[in-house]
Amino acid sequence: MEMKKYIFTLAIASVCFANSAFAQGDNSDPSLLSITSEKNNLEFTAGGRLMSDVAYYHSDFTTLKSGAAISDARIRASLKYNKLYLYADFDFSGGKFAQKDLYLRYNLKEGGNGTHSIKAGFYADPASMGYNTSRYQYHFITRAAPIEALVTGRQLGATYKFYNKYMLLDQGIFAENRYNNQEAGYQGITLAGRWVYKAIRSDDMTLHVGAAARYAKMNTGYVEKNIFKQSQSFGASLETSVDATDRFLHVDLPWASSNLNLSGELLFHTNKFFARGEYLYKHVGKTQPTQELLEAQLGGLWSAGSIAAYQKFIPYRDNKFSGAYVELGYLLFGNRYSYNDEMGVLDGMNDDNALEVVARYSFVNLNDIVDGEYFLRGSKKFYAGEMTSAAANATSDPAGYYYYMDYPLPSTSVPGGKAHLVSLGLNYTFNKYVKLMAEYKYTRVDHYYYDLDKNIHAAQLKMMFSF
Amino acid sequence: MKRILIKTMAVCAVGGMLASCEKQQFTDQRQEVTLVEAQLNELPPDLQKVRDYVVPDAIMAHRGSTFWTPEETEAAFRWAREIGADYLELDLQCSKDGVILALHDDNLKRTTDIENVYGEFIPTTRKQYYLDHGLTNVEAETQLGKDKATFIPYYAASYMYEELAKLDAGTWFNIKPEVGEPEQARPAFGTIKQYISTLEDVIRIAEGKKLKRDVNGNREFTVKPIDKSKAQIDRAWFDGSVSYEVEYVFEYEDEIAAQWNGNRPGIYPEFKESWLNPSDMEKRVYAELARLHWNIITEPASANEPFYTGANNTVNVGNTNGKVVLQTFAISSLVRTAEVFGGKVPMNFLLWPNSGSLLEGTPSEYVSSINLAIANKAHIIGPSIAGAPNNYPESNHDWQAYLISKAKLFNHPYSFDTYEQMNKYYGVWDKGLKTDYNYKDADGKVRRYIDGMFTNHADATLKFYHDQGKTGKFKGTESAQDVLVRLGY
Repeated sequence: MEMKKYIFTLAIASVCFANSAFAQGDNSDPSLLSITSEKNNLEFTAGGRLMSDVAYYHSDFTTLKSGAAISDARIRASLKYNKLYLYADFDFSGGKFAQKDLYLRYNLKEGGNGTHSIKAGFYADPASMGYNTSRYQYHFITRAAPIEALVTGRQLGATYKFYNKYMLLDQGIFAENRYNNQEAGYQGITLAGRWVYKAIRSDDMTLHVGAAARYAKMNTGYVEKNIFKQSQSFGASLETSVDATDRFLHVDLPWASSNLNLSGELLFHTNKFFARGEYLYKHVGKTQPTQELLEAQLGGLWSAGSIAAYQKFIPYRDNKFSGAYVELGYLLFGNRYSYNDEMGVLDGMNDDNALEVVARYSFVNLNDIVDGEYFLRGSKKFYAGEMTSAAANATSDPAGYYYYMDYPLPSTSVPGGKAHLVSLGLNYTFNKYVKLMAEYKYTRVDHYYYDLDKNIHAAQLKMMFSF
Repeated sequence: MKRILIKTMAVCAVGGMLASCEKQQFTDQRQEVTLVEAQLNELPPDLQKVRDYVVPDAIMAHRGSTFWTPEETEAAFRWAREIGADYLELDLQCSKDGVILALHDDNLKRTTDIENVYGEFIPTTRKQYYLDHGLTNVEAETQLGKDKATFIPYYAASYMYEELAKLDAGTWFNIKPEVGEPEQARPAFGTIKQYISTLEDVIRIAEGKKLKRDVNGNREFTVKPIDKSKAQIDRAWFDGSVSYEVEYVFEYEDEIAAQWNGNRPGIYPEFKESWLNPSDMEKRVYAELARLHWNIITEPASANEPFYTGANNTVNVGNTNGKVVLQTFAISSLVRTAEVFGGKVPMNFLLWPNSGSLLEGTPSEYVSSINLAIANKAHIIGPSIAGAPNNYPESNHDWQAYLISKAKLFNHPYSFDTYEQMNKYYGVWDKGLKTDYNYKDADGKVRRYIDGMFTNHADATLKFYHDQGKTGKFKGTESAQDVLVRLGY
C-alpha cells in the first residue's frame, strides 16, 4: 500500500516534469517544476532526486556485498512567499518512508549588510560543514566517514542565522526525539552552533575558517526493573552505500547521557580547485544510577555487596572519539567552483559537461581502549587486571603478566574500530540534473573483532538525478 | 576528449570488477584455519617437557563418576580408582574456615540435604563452633555478627567444614527428583555416609586409603584451636567477609586388600570461578599439595617412574611427575596459576563456547584462546564436546583439534558419557572422511587428535582404549557394578 502511494506520487511528479514550465534561473537549483505568481509574490517548486550506486568490494576476509542499490529516492517541495520559505523533503529509498527536512524559515532582514533569519522544524543542526552540504552537491559518492560516525544529523529545533560576505553565524536549540515517543524520560535538549569567518570571499576565490560546537543532554530511554536506562549507538559505513554495514565502525554505549561535539573546519577554493576539511571530536558523557543498580543485583551469590565494590568492578567512564577528513578537487572541464554563502559550504558542480577529479583522505577512530587491558579474540572481550609480580620485569607478552578478571568484567574499553580511507574519484556532470561519479577507495581497517580484515578495496559508480 | 574519459571510467570500473578475485571465505571455517594458522603460537620446549608428564590417552574420572555414584564423594573416587582411571577429577572450593573442598556446584542444594539440615539460616551451632575452638565469648559474638552480615545460604564458603560434615552428600543420588529412583541407586550411598570431600580426601583415596570412621560410621577428624594471629581468609570482593583459617586433622585408614587393587591414580583438580573463592586460592592449593607430598615442584618424582606397573598394568600415575594436572575455565585463575606454579605442573585451559574464553569458536577466536593458554604456561586445552546427555556446545571439531595439535598442546576434551562419543572424537568413524586435520599417533594410527577424555564412564573409556589396541592401559576385568559391590556399596 505504501509503495503504491510512492509510485503514485512519482507519477504525479513525472507528469509535472513533462508538462511544467522549466525555470532555470538559479544554476544550483535543479527543480524542474517551478510555478511563480508575481502578483502574489509567491513561488512554488517541486522536484525529486534519485541516486543509484554500483559497487564492487575486495576485502581480505569478511565479505562485503557487492552489487547495486538505490541509495536515495526523494521528493521535495518548497514554497516561497515574501520572506517566508517552507521546505519539505521525504525519502522513500529501500521501500521505507523517512522524513527528511521539514522546516519553515523567515528572513527577518535582508540587505547588503547581511541576512538575518530564523528557522524552525526538522533539519540538520548547524554543527558540521560536511553534514550541511547536500549529498547531491557533495563531489564525493558519500560524505566522509567521520561525519557519518560523529555528527548527529537532523533534529527538531529552531535556529537563528546571520550571514554576509564575511561571516556566517548559525546557532540554535534542538530536541532529542522529534516525535517524543521514547518509552521513558523526557525530551533531552541540544545546543548547537557553527561559526565561519571568510578571510577571502569573491566569485573567484574563497577562504573560510570555522568552528562548530554542539552539546546534547540526552534524557530519553526505557525503564527495566525500575531502573532508567539510556544508551547511544553510532557508527559509519566505509564510505559506501551499496553495502552500508557499519560493522567495522560502530559503538554501543550504555549509560550515555550527554554529547559534546567540537569541530574545526577550513575551506578554500579557486575557479578550478577546492580544498576543504574538518576535524571532529566527540565526548560522550555517561551517568549510571549506581545505587539502583546495586539494589537490583543484591541478594545473590554473584552480587556486589557495597557501592564501592560495585563501582570498582563494574565501572563506567566517559568516552572520546575523533575523526578528520581532507577533500581536494580539480576541475578539468567546466566553468568554475562556487561558494554558497547561506550555508557556508562549497556548491556542487552543476555546469554542463563538467569533469572534475577529486581525492579524499579521511580518518575515524571509534576505539577508546584503556592502556594495559587485554583483548581476547576468543571471547571478544577486554580484560582489566592488576599486574602480577612478574610484570615488573616484563618486556613483552603482557598477557602473561596480569591478573585478568573475568568476573566481574571491569573493562571500560570500547572497541568501535578505526579506519583510514583514501578515495580517488572522477565526476562527470552532464548537466545540473544528471551526474555520474566514479571512485576507487582503499580502506585500512583496524578492528579488534575483525583482525583478519585490514585492506578493503572498493570500485564504485554513482548516478544521480535531480529534477 | 570528454567522451574518451567517460568511456575510460566505465571500462576501468567494469574491468576492475571482473578482474578482481575476492576471497569470500568467511563461510568456510576450514579456509579460515589456513589464514590464522600463522598466528598460532607453539608451546615452548620447556613446557612441552612438563606436558609430557601427563599419561598418554589419559582417562579422567569426571567427579569420580556422575553416572555410577554420587559425584565427588568417597564412593565416587574409590570406584574411579578401582575401575582403573588415570586421574580422579575434582572441583576446588573452600569452606569458610579454609578447608579445600572437592565440590562442583556453587550451591549445596542439589548434592546434599542442606535444605533440611540448615535451611536458609546460618547454623545455630556457629557461636559454639567459635567457643569450642578458642575464641572468647565476646570474640565469638563479634565474629558471629560478621558472619550473619555476609551469610549467603547454601553457598559452601558460608559454612565451616565442621558444619559441612553434618551434611549427607550421598542419599540425593538415590532419589533424583527428575528421574525418580535411578537404576544406579544403592542403599549404601545413604547408609555409608557420604561427605563433601576435601582435596586431602581425594589424595588419600588415590593413595589407597579411605576415610577413618567411628563406630557410628562418622568420619574422624579433630580441629586445632584457632590461631588468631594466622592470616584470615579473604573471600574476594563481593561480600568482604573474612574468616579465621582453621587447621583440621583428618583421619584415614588403609584400604583392606580386597578393596584396593593397587591402582594409584593422579588427581586433576579444577580451579573454579576465582571470585567465589579466596583470592589466593592457587597459593593455598600449592601449599596443600606440598603438605601432602603431592607437589612435584617441592618434591619431584623420579623421571623414570612408569605410568603403569606389573602384569595388570596397575595404575601408577600418582607416583609420577604427572600425578597432578590442574585445570580451569577462569582466565583470572589461569593467570594466577601461571604465576604460582610457573608452568611446572601440567595445566589445562578449559574452553566453554558461547561465553567465557571462547565466544563463537571461529578459527580466529580459537587461535587466540590457544595463544592465551600458552602465554600463561598451560600445556593442555580442554574443549567441550557435543552429544547427549549434556548437549554441550561443540568446541572440538576436527580443525579445532588440529590447531591444538599444531600448537603442541595436549587435547583433553570434556565430558564423555557414551561409547559413541568416544568413537566420534577419537576419529574411529572418520573412515572415508580423512581430512588434513587428522593426526598420526605414536602407534602410526591416523586419527583425530585427542590425548585423553574426561569421562563419567571410566569403565567404558578404558574398554574403548583397549578396543583401540592400547594394551598398555590397566587390565581391569570387573564391571562397574562389581567394583561397587566389592567396595561395600
